[in-house]
Amino acid sequence: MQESRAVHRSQTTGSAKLPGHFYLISLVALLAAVLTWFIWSAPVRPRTVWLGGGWVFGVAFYFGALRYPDLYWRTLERWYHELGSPRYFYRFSGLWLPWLVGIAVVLCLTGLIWGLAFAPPHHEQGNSYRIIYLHVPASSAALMGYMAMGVAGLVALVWRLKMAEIMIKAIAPFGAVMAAISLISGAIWGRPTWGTYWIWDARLTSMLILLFLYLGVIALQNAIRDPRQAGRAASLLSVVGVINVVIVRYSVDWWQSLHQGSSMSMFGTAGSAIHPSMLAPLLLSMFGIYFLYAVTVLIRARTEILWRERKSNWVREEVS
Amino acid sequence: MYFDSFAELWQMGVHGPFVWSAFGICVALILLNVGVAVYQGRRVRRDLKRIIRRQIMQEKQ
Repeated sequence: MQESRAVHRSQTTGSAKLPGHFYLISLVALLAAVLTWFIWSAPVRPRTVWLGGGWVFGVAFYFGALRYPDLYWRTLERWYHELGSPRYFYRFSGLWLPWLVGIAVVLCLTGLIWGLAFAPPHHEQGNSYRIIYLHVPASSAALMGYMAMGVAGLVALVWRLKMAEIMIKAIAPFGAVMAAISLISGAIWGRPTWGTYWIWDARLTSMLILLFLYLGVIALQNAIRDPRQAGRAASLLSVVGVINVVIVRYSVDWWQSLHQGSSMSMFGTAGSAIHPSMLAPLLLSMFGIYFLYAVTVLIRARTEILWRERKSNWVREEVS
Repeated sequence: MYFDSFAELWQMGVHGPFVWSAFGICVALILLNVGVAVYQGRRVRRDLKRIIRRQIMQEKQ
């Protein structure tokens, strides 16, 4: 009886299991479809470069995975397990932190000083446009931060990974500050250009909701005593809130808005409506803010890891 | 530099108050946030050091 059950089980699992490369090719095809859709609006030449490069990379990855499946899967598995382990993450982030701090400081200072003092003024807005060097990096960091929190939330909900819950806790505070900065700098910029500090406009309102979502995630984590339960609640809010990121991004296209549409593009100067002399410092300060974000996330994650793992031996050795 | 003097950089035509207040408030917020993160990290380390030292003392007794 037992034997037949074992046979039966092996048969069912055997028939239900698809070859590994089926999942891989599905994933790659899905990514390719999403990217193609995303890139389609770009001018022809960068589109060709991105799509061609993307397909070459995708096909190479696919055949590589077929040829050396062990190497590919083992590497992915190792990353997953190592980055999912608080101890490894603590060690790894300690090595990276000084470099990230250096890069963030250099990029932020160069970008902001260049934008404030060296970039030419706008032909209609004069010098008030210089707020862009703070407003755009902060807004995009707030959106990116929430996307990252959504991904971490999904991982936390599906695989119950402790590290993912810690990451949500580490990402939220700086994201809230970024959303606040976006709103404050936007309001101050709005006064000379639009004639008002605030208007209940789709872009502005959805950005305010983003700030409240960040504050909600922080509040949830502080309101629930058990860290695992708090982590689950916060992950759920992170995942659900991602819909608002999409709304913020496309609000200027979907509704009549006082806010201008996006004038930057991922495809370099060809797709951007900004002159290179103004775009260069903007990109520098954007990357500077991203690196600064990474620095604060690592610092907060390390603190949280130490506190949660305080009973383990490695923390004892690390601290004393 | 685009401006002829630091006074002009400060005035920015008529937009000095807007640009500099926005930068002042926002950079202060960023620095405050980073400062809080660093301070929390140090405090947790200090607290843990104390807790662990106490545990080691108790184990010895």
